[in-house]
Amino acid sequence: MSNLTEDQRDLIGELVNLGIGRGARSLSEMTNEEVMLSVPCVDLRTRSNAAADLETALSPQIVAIRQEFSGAFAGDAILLFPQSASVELIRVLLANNPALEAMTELEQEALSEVGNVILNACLSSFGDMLEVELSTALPVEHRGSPEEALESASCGATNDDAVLYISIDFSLQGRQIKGYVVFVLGVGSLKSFQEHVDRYLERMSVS
Amino acid sequence: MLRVPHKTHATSLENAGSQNKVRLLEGVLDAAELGLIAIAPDGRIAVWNRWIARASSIPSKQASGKRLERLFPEIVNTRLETAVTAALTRGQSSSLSHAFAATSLPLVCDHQDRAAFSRMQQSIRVEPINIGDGQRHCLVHITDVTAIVQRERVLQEKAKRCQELADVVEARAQELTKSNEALGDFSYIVAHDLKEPLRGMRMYAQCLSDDYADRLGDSGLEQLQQIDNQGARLQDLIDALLEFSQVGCVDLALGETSIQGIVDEVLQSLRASLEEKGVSVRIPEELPNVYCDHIRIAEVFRNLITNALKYNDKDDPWIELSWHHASNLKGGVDDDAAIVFSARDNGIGIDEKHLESVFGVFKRLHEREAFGGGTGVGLAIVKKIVERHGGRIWVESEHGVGSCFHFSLPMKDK
Repeated sequence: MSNLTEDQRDLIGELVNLGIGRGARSLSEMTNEEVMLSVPCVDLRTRSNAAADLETALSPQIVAIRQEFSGAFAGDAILLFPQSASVELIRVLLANNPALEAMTELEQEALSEVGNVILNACLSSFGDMLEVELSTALPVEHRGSPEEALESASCGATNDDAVLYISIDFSLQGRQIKGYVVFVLGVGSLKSFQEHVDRYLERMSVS
Repeated sequence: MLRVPHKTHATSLENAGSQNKVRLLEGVLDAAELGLIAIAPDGRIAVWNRWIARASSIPSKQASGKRLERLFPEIVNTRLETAVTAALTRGQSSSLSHAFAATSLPLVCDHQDRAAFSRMQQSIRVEPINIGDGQRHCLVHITDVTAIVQRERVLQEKAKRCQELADVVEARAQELTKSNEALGDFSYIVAHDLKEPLRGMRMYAQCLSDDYADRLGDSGLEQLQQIDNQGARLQDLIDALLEFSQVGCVDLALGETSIQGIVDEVLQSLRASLEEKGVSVRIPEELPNVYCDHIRIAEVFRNLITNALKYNDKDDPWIELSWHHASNLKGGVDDDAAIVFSARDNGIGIDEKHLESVFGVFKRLHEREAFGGGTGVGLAIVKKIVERHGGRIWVESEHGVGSCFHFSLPMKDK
């Protein structure tokens, strides 16, 4: 697995921050609540390491929103929350009654849209800044372990392939909710992604 | 992203003429139980299926070639418009939930029974379609979620009411706890304050008896004795009431406790009375350890054994103490994870009609001085102690043959 250089890591962090900022604005508009999102960590690790780390950082049972993307590089973008936090997040966003134990059908759909907004915002940021086109498929919800969620990625990556691992902190109404975004890149796509990142860095250094 | 191949391999379509293919696809689109709108790269409507025509009251011919925002000006600057633009220009898919700020189209339900929801609640998905000509189209799927919204509103409402009721119960329980505490304090103060004048009355009665015996005469002295007896009785009742009120207030000191040890202590303290009446105590199997308050459960055994001792007129009185797991004893206990203790005697027994009332406060079934007297609070205290441990107490009895008191104690701390 190739590692990220310091510059690559910084740039990807900036791009994700930009996208996440847009996502936060969209969520704030949708809910009339101030939603703050921050990205404390961007890293590259193997899919199996990422799954193990997510299990420790979140919980063995998670809710994931996954979106396939294709274009200059292809893969799956996955947003993951612990199950309990996902219920809390959606109830706060919708100002719904917390007395219900399980997430309702419409709350699940709303969570899908939250994931959709964040993942689309990140991918748009990659597309806009790296000047590439990235199409996305509709979001799919997944419940189970982090390992199962990462394995559900349809891009053909294996356990040893690298994934882009990003932690996200949600801050809303005084609550802090932790989630993660993982980009599982298809075969050859990580290289292509890094090349585009390098090209952008070159453009920046020339100008 | 939805990809439609240049050339379909479906045999039926290959064999059909292009006109038939179009009719077949139109038929498929019209049969769909959801709204489907296809938007061309220039933003104009290319497909408007029967479902959306019915829900919007805009026929397909009228919608075709128009821009969506021209038909529905209310969608300008909404998530739906943004999503359609993102699908056409960037190839982005979006899922628009009904739950967030309004995005929906002004569609109407065709069900009469949804009067309150005549405006359709919708879940919308927007997806780019690549048809291979290099230009991107956009497909909008609209699902009617009115029934689900209605069901979930009822569910939310019920959950809210349950929560409100739970809050009321919690508040009442807190009030009750406070009022019980206040009552406990009150009982203590009243009992303490009543005892003092009572002591004074008895003391003055005694003084009268000592100092004026010669003037009072036998009749007067007897009446004075009655005053003192009644005073003593009142003092016993006040003491019993005080003890009863305190059982409910004082926290239990729970711990792993040997019931055999408790019973041995109680029997030791009652040894003189037991020997005097010639009562034999049988314990067929050693009593187990239970998680309970040592002192309180000792009170329970003391009361039950004392009662068995007092209310026995047989020549060979006996008491038998035994135990069972709740699951081995049919009826009487709801909790399988409990141990049931039984105190059986061959005493005078209890009439069936009094079986429930024996646990009431100041409840005596006999003349005040019969069977050694008493305040009638003992079994009420026993019941309160057992219930504070999360257990139950009940009695089986046959008048003239004997009684058997059973009480359960949970095996673990609850």
